[in-house]
Amino acid sequence: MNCQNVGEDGIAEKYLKGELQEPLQDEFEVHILECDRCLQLVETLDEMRTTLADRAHEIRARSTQPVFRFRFWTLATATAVIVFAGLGTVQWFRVHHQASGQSVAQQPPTPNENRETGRVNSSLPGEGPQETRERSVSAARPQKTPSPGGGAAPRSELDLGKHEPEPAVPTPPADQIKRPPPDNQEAKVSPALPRGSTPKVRAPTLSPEQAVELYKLGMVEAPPYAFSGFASSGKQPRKITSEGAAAGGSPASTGRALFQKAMVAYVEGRYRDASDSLEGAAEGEPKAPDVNFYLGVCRLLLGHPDDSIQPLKKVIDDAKSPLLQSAHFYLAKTYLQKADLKQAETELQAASDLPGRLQTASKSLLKRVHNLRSALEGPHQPTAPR
Amino acid sequence: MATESTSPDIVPTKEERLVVRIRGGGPAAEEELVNTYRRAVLLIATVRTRDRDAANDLSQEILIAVLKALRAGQIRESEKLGAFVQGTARNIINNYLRSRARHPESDLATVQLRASDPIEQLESSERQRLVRQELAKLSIADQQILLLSLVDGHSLAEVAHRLNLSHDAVRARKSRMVKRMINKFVRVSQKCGS
Repeated sequence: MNCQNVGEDGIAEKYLKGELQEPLQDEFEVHILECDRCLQLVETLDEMRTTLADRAHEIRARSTQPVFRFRFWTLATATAVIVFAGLGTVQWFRVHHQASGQSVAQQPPTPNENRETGRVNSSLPGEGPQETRERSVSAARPQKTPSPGGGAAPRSELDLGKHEPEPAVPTPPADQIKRPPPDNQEAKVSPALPRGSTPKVRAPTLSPEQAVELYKLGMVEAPPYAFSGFASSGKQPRKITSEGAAAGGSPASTGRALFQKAMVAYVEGRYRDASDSLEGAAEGEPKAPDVNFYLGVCRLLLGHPDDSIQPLKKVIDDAKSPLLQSAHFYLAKTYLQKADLKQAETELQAASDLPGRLQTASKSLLKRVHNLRSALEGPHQPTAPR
Repeated sequence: MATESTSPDIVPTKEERLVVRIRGGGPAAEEELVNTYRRAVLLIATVRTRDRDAANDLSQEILIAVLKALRAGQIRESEKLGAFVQGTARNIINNYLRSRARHPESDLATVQLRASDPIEQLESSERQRLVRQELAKLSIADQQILLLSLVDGHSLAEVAHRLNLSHDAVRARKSRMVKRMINKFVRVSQKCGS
């Protein structure tokens, strides 16, 4: 046996593992008794084994984390997903507009509907002034589906900040709505426009990419809640029944008890139960910021952005509330789900102006909302994000 | 024409000289023998018993047995001292493994064995520290390769399968890492002539 065998044949490693046959093992042991270099080699390998064994738990724990490997199939899968998502979005818009057209043909005219909804108006080609009616694109839209974060999918039509009441006016054919002429970027409808004439388009239709971006912007993740934090006043939640809570105690204590019960459901992801309990808690503590905040969040997570505005605004009314920034942030999410980009931008601006953990996220979101809004209605200078 | 050198004035090897000195009763020679073979004997005992504590005891016992044998002149081929030590070690360790009982510490009062050489101990602990430091520098994938291969005893094919890597990549990476470590920590010894 010589040193070259030891290195090349991996004899040292096999020896340490006990994998050498008895004669070879004896021969190798005689060799390391006489060869200091090979002895050091075996000692080093043994030291490596010992060290690795000591750190085995740590190494294995880190190895369980998924490692991204850029392979061809990864690229192919990603491409397929993007293509199908794009096709699906386009198809959804087609179906969406077809369904809108059918609903117009079947429903009676509701001339004042748009004043409340503030949504895109359009009429079918060939309709005269008498048949012209406003219709909400969302009237024939499928039910809202919860977003991955639990919120509702944003609407395809946009409210870009034009909230002034407008008279019912005839709208252009659908093809004109999809592609507004460049000179209509102001998107204002003249109240003096004579009936039957072609009005200017109020808001552009979203492209599939913009719809996806809006959808992503409106995604909501449940904010964390810790029982030792602000809301629970450092007390552990108790087992509380609605009957027991309602049976005795002051309204505030009942509200607090219901709040704790709600937050137990909240941290377990039972947002429906949490929302129900929070509504009860809000009766006892109508101005409690934590109650209103999580009530708004729960409603948002349940896909009811319209219902979440009021409680979140109650939180914002209290300028000293520790949940002020969070309330602005989630109110912005609410507006994003309602596709009201201007309001969302305002709330995000407020959230990013406040110190707190959501400041960076707010700034990032604000920039994206601003970019989306700019792309949709053209550049607007005054509300550029800071 | 070259004649075969069988003359008695041939230069004795280092091992032969050491055996002669020990037989003559030199304590320095005994100490030299212990220092020469202690690490290797400890390693052999550790590998064979998989028990460091037992290996420490056994290595003492082995060296004492070797010294006793040398003092008594029981070695026939003194140039094969390494083989003699290895044979003694194997027999004692096998006896231990059979009985699984600890042997008495020492009944050779005249032999003064030091627990360890402080310099050697210092070098050893320094090497341990550096090995840990070098391993920590490796990527997690490389550490996994070494862990699965050296500690868990998996074949390179198994390691490659587990880590979703090619067999050649695992072999190359492991070889590179082991060579790097060995080159860093193994000194070129003049003793190694084979």
